[in-house]
Amino acid sequence: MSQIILLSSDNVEMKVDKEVAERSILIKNMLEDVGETPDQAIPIPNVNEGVLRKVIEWCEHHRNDPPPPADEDSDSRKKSTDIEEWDQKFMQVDQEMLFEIILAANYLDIKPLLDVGCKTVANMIKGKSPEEIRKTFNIQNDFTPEEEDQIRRENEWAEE
Amino acid sequence: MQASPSPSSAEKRGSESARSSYARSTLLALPAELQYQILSYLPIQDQLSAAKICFLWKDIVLNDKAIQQTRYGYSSSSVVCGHIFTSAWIEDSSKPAFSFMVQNGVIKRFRYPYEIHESSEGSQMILYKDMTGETLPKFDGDITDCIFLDEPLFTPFPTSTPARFRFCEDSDQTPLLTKKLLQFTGNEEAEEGSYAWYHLYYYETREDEAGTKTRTLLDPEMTIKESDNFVITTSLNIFSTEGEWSGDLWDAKVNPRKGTSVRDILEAVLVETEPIIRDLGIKTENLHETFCMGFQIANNIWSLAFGVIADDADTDYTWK
Repeated sequence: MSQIILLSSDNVEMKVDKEVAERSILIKNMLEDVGETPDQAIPIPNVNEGVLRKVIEWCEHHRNDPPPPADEDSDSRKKSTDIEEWDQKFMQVDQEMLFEIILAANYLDIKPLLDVGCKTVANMIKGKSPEEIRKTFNIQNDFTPEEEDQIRRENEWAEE
Repeated sequence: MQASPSPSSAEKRGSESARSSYARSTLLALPAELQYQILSYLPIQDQLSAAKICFLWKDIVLNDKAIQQTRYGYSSSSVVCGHIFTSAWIEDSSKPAFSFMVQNGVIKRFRYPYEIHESSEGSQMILYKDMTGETLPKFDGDITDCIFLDEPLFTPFPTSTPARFRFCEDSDQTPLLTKKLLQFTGNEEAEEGSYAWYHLYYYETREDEAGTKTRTLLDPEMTIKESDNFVITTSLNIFSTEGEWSGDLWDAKVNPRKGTSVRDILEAVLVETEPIIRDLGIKTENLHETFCMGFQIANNIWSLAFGVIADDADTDYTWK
């Protein structure tokens, strides 16, 4: 099994099986362009060591997964926020790490991991009031009272 | 999904510490397309909450086509009808129904479920009830903060579908001023006898101190006085002759001008609305889908209005 070396943004080298690294479409395409297994480390400039280790952990676990269906707009993806148990545990991290994983999955083009990350965030939003959502994600309410009033006015409906 | 560069942690932390009291949420710092994806997983009630969070999310929830589509629950592969349709009713008229109307593609009015009770004197009383038939504990449910009520109705359907029905007169004796039968033509469905009614009716609505509304049919020859309070309704109803299913496809109400006769107004409405109904472009083989969709939209609004969490995304609304 051939291995390659990934170099995190904070200059830490990590040796991984090529098959595992190729869960990332970005790396897969890169390796195909190069043509042969490179001796030098592949720099991953946007991902630091901690996040890269998490991403590799996910790729290790899912190394034998079948490729995701080509149809991006499949209804099942839109509707269900079900996450398999291993992935749920994997995603039990603090928010900063969660968003870093999502960004890394987006950058490295690992769609199934991106989906799991986005579903995890969606599940954190579900069932919460607007105020609870703001609190959970530390979001500032940028509507002025006048604008909130405007939102209400926009939706007045005529009672018959 | 396109790879997009993310700001480094150091940059983010720097910008966070630069803001004194409010740290920028990392969630909102995600690229917009990822925020779209996250919000697209939310059921309609949670979309509603999300839209109240901030400008960006309001914009995404209201205007992103893919997210709108999740609200109306229909795939673009269905070709149903044109630019204006509304009003879902439950087939059995003894059960309460609810409906809403659409003007220029915008949901403008929501009607609570109601039953009409006719007294021996001929006047009708409207009782507002919920779906289970129980009288609502309070009829002050306020849906004015339902932002979806004012969004352009999402219509993933082409508007150029040719109409396959024609107008013809119907001799049925009803208290309606005008009742036109639309006969479907040129396909098997017509042979099976599906048909549509287009009718106008008219009534006076009164509300007593308890909030109970009564409505009385009007004499078409009377003239509207300053003090009169009329509601004139036109609607397009679709029925199958076998009685398997039916529904209101289109429903409009007008405020009458004072000093004119009821008949004049109704005829003006007729002239106004016939082209709209012609433009509906109904394909009879898709009528079931039309109703299912109308019902689903209404159901979504229903659950928003009354806070019923509908976790039955896979409910089959097919008329059977």
